[in-house]
Amino acid sequence: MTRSVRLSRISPVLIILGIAITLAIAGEVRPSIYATSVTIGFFSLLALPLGLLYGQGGAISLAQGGFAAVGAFTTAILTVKFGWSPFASLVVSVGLPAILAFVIARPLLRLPELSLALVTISLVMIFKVVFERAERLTGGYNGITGIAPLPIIGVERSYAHWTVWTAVLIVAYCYASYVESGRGRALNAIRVDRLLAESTGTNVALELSSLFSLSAGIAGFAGWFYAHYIGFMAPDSLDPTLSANILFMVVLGGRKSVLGPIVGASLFTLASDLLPGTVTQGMIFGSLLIVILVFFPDGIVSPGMMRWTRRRATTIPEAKNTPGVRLERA
Amino acid sequence: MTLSARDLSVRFGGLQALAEVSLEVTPGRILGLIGPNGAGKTTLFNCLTGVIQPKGTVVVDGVEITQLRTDERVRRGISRTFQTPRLDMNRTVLDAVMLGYTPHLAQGRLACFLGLPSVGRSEEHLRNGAIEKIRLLGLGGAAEDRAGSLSLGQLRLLEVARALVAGPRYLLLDEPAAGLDESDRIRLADAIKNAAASGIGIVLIEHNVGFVSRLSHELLALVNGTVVARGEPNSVVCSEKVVEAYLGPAYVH
Amino acid sequence: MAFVEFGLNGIFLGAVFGLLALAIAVVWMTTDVVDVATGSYAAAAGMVAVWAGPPWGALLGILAATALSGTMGVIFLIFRRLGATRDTILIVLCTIAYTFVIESALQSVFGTDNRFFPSVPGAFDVAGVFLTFQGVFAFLLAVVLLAGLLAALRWSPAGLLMRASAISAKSASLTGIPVRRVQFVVFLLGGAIAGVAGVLASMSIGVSYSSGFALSIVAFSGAVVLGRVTVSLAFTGGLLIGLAIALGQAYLPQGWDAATAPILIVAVLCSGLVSRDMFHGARP
Repeated sequence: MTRSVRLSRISPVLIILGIAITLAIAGEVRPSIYATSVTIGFFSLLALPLGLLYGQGGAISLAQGGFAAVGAFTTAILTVKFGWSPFASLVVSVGLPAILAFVIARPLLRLPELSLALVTISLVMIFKVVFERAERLTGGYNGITGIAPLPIIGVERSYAHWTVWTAVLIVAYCYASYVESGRGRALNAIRVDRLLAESTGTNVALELSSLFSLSAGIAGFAGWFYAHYIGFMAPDSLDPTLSANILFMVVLGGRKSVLGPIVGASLFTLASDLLPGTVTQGMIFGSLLIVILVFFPDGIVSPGMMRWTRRRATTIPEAKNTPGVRLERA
Repeated sequence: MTLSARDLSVRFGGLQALAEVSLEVTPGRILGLIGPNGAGKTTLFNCLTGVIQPKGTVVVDGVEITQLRTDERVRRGISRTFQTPRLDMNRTVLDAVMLGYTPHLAQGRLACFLGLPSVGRSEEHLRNGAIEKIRLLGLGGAAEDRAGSLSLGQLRLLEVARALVAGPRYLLLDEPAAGLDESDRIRLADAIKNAAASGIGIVLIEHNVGFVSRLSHELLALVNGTVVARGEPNSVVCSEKVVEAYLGPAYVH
Repeated sequence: MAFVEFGLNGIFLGAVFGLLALAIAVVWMTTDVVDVATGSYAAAAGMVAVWAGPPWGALLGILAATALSGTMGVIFLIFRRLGATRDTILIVLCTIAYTFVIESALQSVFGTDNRFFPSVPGAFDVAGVFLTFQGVFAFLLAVVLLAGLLAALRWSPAGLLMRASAISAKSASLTGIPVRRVQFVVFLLGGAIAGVAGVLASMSIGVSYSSGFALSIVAFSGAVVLGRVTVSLAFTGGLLIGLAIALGQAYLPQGWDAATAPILIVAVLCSGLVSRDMFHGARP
């Protein structure tokens, strides 16, 4: 039993490592692939903690992109305007969104899903107005240019690839370990039924605010990395649409599994690379999203075992060969 | 060393759900709570566990807990089961029972994120404890089954097991015997007696008057939010008001 | 005087937001879905109206908005048909995705300019307060629409069905009310109201392909700002948001007024003023 548990924790990590290595090999052959792989990694970093918060804990957030923007602007301001080293600013880039999230979390996370979604997206819009208006710090609409590349990593794409994918691997490992621990069980109970979670001794507010804060901190890290990698940060770089897209990645990829957010991030990146034209892209993209949300609400990757057991218990024996069952198996 | 509630009153709009109800249960004792549907029995549990905030005070082992949250009360040793089982139907029975360990979890958040071996050992330990409780309640064969595949009666037993693994000092059972067959009911009765014998104070809501009066040391009858009788089981069961509430005024004499 | 002028013009602007808030509220109450694409229906109505030109463009615009919301209604029905117990939040995400679709369609057909429909000409002043006929027109039209809707809900058989479905979809369907059809009609109704709001917006502040989302957020803040979500409170809330935004534009440093609506949403929802039931789909 212990062995199988450990295996189920390690296997998603191995799959992700496989993806990262494959992308790196492809990147060595065609360097442009590195650009794609760094983008996928960046999105995955934002989507994974949201997968833990929403898929396991049931608390939705449309603010991941906003917290990434906070992290990115923080390092841009500190390094460009105040001459800090990127590693000193990293602490603030991670800490500021994390603390901010923790402080605002308590009134927020009591809210039911729908209002939580609307409140978090409102937060991102407020962030954006602040970025646009605090011109002396953020450069207003024009943003901040000339953010220095990170030492060692520099502008070398393969280094950037490995930096961001190492972070993804670590986050994915932590996610998988957490879900399998007793605390993960309590988190699952919060999603299923808050009264159940409280009545079995879980401090729901604390549990969710810590996770909300943690996901904001990881988003801050991703933003920090983004700012130094791109070298430029403006209010439009990481805008409210990104926050919505991150949630879409989680839902479409599969909010209940570790791999889901990463699959979602990959599909999103590939889709925006491969779909024609920027103007008509929204139409194709949006329609695809609607189709998947309506027909595959659990997303692409859903825990296989769970799906099987649910089927076994809900289908009555004589219904075994009805088309419905076959349809769902396929 | 008691769990005691003094003068609990609750209003839902125009309905007086509870009117100055007091009760006391000491470790090792079983207090039966009877009364017709809508008498306020589950509301009383909700007050004791902090799901709703009543007027009045709740004191556990000399400490007033009226202002504490539900999860804080659980950590102070008050566990409960629900009349309509609450659990994730998609997880295994074992998993559902292990959720009961949450208040005394020895796994730090950081250790859980890092997946340290200590977490694995702790889980192993908890799993063994949970299996033991599951066997005790006769669900041993179903430990690895999906919780959703159990019958309603078995789910109630599962809830008892979950409440027991939390190591409570006071246990509130909300109609645990409803929908059980005879052999399961005997097993449940044994489990409740054993729990009491090990020093847990138990409050038991139950409609089956025979079952509850055989098991309890003391009975308390609620009708329309007021205590109409309390004391030694046989005298409470025979008291006029209780008979009237259950069977109607025609049966009183 | 300046304050009164800003205030009145704010309320006139608020008529547009009030109608949008109304559109969001009727759909929300009947289907448990906050239709984030409502603002996009309005933007589409405005763009189509400008493209077709007066006088029939206005009608065409409203029709376009209704068609768009009807499509959302169909998506909603399919979603519910496939799984009655599914999480409502997924359909809200669908409406966000639908916003992307409409924005992109508008951009590829009409381009990126902010467009204007000819407004009602003229202005007048009352005791030194300078007002436009356009503003008065928008306000009166909105009030007439609100009154008509309230009357229809109160006295018409269709209104009764709608109210019954809003109170409890389940019990309504048990009493033989075709709840799904009612919900679809409510989507159409919401789209039509949003369409009127969109044409009015194109007559004053103008509409562009990307106006939709911001309009939705403003309208949503109007719908919840007064605590309880009802048809008339949503409309009043919209007027107040218009007022707040106009005063913000006048007295805040430039650009900060864009934060008014989101700040109100965060403040109102976090304070717990809005009944939780509105968000649960918890009504049995």
